[in-house]
Amino acid sequence: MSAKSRVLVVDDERTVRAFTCRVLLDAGFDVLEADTGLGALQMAGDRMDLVVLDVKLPDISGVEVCRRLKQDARLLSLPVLMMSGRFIESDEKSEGLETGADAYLTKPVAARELRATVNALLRMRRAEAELHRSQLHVQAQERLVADVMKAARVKEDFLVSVSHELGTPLTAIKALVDTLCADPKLDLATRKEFFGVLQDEVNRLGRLVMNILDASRLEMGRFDVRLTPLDLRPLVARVVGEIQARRRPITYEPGAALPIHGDRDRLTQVLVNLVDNAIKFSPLDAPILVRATAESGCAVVRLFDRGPGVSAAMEAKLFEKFGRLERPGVSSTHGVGLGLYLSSEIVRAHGGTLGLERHPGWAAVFAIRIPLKEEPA
Amino acid sequence: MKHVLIVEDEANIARIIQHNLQRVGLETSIARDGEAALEQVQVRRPDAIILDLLLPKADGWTVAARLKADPATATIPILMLSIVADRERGLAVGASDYLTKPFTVSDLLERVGKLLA
Repeated sequence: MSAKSRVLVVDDERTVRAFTCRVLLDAGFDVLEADTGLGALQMAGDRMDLVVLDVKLPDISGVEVCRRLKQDARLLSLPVLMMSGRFIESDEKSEGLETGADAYLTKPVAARELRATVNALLRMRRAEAELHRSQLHVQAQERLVADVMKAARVKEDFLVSVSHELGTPLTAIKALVDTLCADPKLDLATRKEFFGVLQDEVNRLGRLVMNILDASRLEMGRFDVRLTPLDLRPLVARVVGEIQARRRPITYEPGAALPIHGDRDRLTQVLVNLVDNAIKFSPLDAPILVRATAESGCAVVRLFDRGPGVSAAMEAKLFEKFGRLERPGVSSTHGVGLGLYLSSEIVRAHGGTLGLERHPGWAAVFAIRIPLKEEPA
Repeated sequence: MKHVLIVEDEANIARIIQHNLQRVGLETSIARDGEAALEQVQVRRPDAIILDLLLPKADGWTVAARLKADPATATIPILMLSIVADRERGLAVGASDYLTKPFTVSDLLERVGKLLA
């Protein structure tokens, strides 16, 4: 059995109130008493299950008490049993019911009638509470279904983009290998060009596969970053150098030494990913700028590009898993949405942040910030 | 000399297709997106089109539908090229053939040969 129901009895006539209380106590309820309307209003909020309310009270009328109770959203489901003397106008009775009283009894009330009415009202209240609970339950289930559907859609999008992203370099690689194998008389310059392209495409495929593996490691909590003292600048210089070697106009502005505690391979992965993005989304001859500086205790590497930029809507989910950069009109391949997510997680594992900044004259500016750690001499 | 328009946004794939078509004596041009493809067809009518489906601006489905709707270009044979295997839909919108990526070069050349025969 649940805890006893709490009933508030409101009546200014002591004898009537004592009788009502006696009957309810005998019926097994917890009973509290009030002899004024305002007193009743004060007590009603205290985990009451039912109010027995006399119409005639010394301060405000029972009808008014009832109206105020029913206006309080928290007490809306608190049943009110109204009672009045025999000679009360029937208008008042209907007014009482109109203000929201759940039942109306005329005094003198027989003990049995009072018990039966109170029990009926409490049963109704329990049924209502039950109904409310099941409604909440249904709502929770609806939310759950919506969440699952959304997750399924994200996964489906992911599969479509993964097959496209894996298939594209694979298509190029296969066609290049076919061509190189089938044509032994291929001139040296073309052969060299094709091997260069082959290398690019194999690297692209390799990075994507590694990203997918990293994302699953991250999900399983098996993604580790090994921090050792290092200077961030040579890492940046190396990545920039590789880009300069073949593809795009890229400018590097190195600053002073940037001693940090970092994972060489992981940070290179972040830099390659950001530079790749900048190249992928910029027009062919648009400049890309890489600047490394020390700012307020942090090593900061910024990548500036003149691509189409990042919309505010896109910015919100930029670093989320599968939060792909969608830049229609630039390329049909937008990635699978793991690069920035992984980069951001890696930088975070260094106690730093990866963020998007706005700088006049540039479209998108990504900033890596990692705390500087001076090596003790 | 027969002329083939290659509609492909992936520069490396376009390049290797171009190389192989040129090797068998075909003239080629490349369009990097759907709108460019439609413009180029107006400027110079190719003898066949190799059409990737996932393209910026206008996708391959749109390009094919527009070409088939215009009597001046409706008879140009189209070879659709896609990672997604959707051959039936391709043929339904009027493509002459459909090749799934990754493809073998000899297969591609054979199919292009058929389009031009």
